[in-house]
Amino acid sequence: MKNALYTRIVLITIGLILLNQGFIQYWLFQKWEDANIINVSGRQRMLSQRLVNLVRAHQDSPDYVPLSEVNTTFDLWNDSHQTLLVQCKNSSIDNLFGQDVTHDLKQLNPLIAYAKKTITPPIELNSAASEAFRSNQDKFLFAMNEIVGELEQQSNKKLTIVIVTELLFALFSLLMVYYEVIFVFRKINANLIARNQELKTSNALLERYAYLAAHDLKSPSQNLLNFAKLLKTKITTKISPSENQYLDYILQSANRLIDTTTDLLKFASFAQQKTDLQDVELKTLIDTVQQDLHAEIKDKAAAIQVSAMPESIQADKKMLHSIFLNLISNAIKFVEPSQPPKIQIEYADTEAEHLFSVKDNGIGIEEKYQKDIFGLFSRLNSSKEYEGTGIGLAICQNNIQQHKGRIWVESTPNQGTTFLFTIPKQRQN
Amino acid sequence: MTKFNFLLFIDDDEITNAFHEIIVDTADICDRNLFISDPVEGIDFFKGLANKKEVFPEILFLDINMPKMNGWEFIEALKALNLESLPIIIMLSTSTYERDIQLAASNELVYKYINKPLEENILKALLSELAPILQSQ
Repeated sequence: MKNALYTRIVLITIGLILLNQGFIQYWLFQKWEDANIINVSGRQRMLSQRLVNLVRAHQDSPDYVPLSEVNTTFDLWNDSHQTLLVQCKNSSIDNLFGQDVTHDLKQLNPLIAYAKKTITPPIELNSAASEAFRSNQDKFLFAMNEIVGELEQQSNKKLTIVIVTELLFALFSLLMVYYEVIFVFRKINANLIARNQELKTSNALLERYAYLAAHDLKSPSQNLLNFAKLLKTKITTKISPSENQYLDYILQSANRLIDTTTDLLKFASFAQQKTDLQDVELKTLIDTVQQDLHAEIKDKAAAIQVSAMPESIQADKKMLHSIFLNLISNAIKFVEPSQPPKIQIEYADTEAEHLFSVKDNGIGIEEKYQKDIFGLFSRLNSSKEYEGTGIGLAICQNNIQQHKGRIWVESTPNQGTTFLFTIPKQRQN
Repeated sequence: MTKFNFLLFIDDDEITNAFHEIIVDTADICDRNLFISDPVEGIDFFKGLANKKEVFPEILFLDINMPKMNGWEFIEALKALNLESLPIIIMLSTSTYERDIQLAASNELVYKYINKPLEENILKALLSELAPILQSQ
């Protein structure tokens, strides 16, 4: 709803600005035409006076200023007059304000006709005729002055109207933008900020709840396991095989409960932590992980090969440890039972990132499941085949995302899986 | 009708299956039951039946949260087999998600939604509820 209003106001504002531009452009063109007409009119005054001078000069020395020269100037004068008539008739000056400059110009036609008669042979130019000619041209000059004045006045009036209208348009556009910012954008923005804050709070709360729940579940589940174990040792010989089986189910379930709560606790505790960046020695870290997985490695006769690594990188040590622990432990776990795991840990240096990969020869992951595996509690196999809580890769993803890195998987079923992840290099300040 | 012929359970949790088996045996409400812990195997089982009506399960108890294929995907896969008839499907789950309950209510193939674990009296009630429907078929 708000967004629709927001868009509508932006569209109206853009429309107003475009309209205003069109308006300004149109009237600038009109103004240019006006200037042209005023210019020509001004020249007409000048030509009418030059004719007076030429006629007088011709009268004084006809050889020096021949009548033909007078006639050429007259033609120029007359042509300009005709052009002006057409221009004024078509111009906005006459049309917009109901003026009739064309009519005023037509009033000058007899003066022009008189001048033509005066300078057309065989009429002789004596001083009386010359004087009459001067008087005729003065009348023209006077009338033309009036016309030029009128033209300038109209053109200025027009300019004033254009400026006022254009300012109103601009003001209206600004008002729209103001309204948008104050009543629409600010509200949307405030809502967004509030919602973002709510989300952050609820996320933090959820992470906290997950942590607390897992934490509180841990000791009762541990008690469940302990007493079931105790019970089994006490009564195992006194009860039937099926009753023993029930006890085993209790033990198995308690074990799974403990595994899940332990992993969930790890996940929740990493999720609410911020990265504590320090120099992490990679060789030591991977050695420690291998020691942690000593039992599994020995049990499955796993071979782990580690390629050349940089001595140390900037990262959160505990988080990085957990990433390698989960990835390597998965690589050991998800193999065909008959096959000893072969694991390759590799490193590549790019300009902005450290790229690590953990490659195995295991059962692989079908492509359609590859995007789901990083979700919390996501499991692709039943616990009968491969034990697990479905939390390990969620921890990896969380820890890597907290470093602003990426994790992804490349895999072919029955051929093996490669997990790849990046840790961005820290800028050296 | 005093007993069901054949009840089928598909649930990835082995221990839950073991528990349900004990409950079903104690309640003594069916001649035959089968527990499958892998949904893909479950689909294979239906493929193998190939419309043999005499060995077709009357009721399928189906778990919702399973690896590889969840209960809803299982129903889609079952539909895709184009069998002549389908069993009565009852969704079984520990999930109390409103969404799952709504999905169960809106899915025409799902008869009802029951929270795990099953109990003897629930099974007996189900028998008296479904017997008339099954007999009329």
